[in-house]
Amino acid sequence: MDEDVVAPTGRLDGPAAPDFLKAVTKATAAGAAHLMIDFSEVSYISSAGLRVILIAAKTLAARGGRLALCSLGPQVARVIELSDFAVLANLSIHSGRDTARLALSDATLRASIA
Amino acid sequence: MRTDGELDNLIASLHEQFRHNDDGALASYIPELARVCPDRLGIAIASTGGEVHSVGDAMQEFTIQSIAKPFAFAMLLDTVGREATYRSVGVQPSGDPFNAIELDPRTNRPFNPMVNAGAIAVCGRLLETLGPSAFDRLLDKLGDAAGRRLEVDETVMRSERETGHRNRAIGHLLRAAEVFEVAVDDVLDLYFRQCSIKVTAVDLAMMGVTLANIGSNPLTGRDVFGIDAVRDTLSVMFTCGMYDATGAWSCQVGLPAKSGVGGGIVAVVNRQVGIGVFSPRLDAAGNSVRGQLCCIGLAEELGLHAFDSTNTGSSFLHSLGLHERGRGGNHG
Repeated sequence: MDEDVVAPTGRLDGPAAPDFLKAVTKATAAGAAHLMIDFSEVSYISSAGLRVILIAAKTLAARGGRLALCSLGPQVARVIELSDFAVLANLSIHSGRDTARLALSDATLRASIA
Repeated sequence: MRTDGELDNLIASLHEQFRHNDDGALASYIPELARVCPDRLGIAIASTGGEVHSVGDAMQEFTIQSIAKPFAFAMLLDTVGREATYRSVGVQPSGDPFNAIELDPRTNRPFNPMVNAGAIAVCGRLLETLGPSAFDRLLDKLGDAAGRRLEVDETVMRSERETGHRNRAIGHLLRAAEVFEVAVDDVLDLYFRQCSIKVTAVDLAMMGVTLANIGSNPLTGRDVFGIDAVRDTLSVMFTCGMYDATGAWSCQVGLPAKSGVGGGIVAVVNRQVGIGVFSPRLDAAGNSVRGQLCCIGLAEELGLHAFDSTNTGSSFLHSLGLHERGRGGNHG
């Protein structure tokens, strides 16, 4: 498999951010090309949680990997939209795991052709 | 979309997290300040939309001390203009303790209006320009920013006056440098009174949001400071507001702010909120220990830092569409 999935739960705020960072770091260190973060069980994200997403995207970008975010609840979607994370070229947002996985496998395919 | 209650939950959890932190010590350079209850902690946030959120001892009065400095500076900018103001005081961080008896050797003027020398220069120029009504006008100005009538703690004021020998020395130094020509004792009287004004964390949040709201109090609608005065004041708060710990504060919190040895801190998120915190124990630099911790927590959770990765910058540049994806470059 070319991607790992991290599926945090509950609130991604200051107290939760260190564990979220650990989970993401562990997943990216495992060496998969891409990472998917599934937000379906996340009710709230603060700036401290957003920081972890940025760290993950940059870590993956360094080795040509992509970060796919999926199943964002309304608060998470709104905060990420307002933060204008589209500035990160290797980050994409998807409605569910299936479309996220499609996008990541497509990226792998294109990378292998190139 | 609103997420009601998030802000209240956040300040309540910060209050709970830090209210047992007993690090630091009360200010003791004047006896009256060493008599306050050290365990208090209040947090308040006021928005430009007119909402006020607070927790803990947010309605407890304490003396404003150095937090009056940026507001007196803004008042001088509005009263005599930029050019005349900067003939009396600079805007350069000094890196020295707030009570240093020194002037900038290049200009023979105080380094900035956030150190005592600069604040006393501001008082001298206000007194010279406004005459005997200077203090009442200043008290009204701060009250307009806070949205309520403020008063002086006469006991603290007498204590300041009886022990303010360093400040008197600074006053005479400024008089000798011809920063002002009025009597040093009258200038110091204005300065000690300004330091002894009683405020609460909620007052500080309101005064902060008045700066954030282009100089106009969002609850009363009263216009208090001009737009140029606000911008210059926030700039000086950003570079000089937290005594000689301003550099570390800039990295950790990244907001214009001003602390006072009474235990208060005001911080400003431009065009959005004013933050007021109060807890009397101070670190070695003279800043409230718990107050700083609360501000660090707020900045991290809410992405308040001026250079935070979630801060998307100038709305004017957004309006030019420079940041729309796929526009490509124009290197012609």
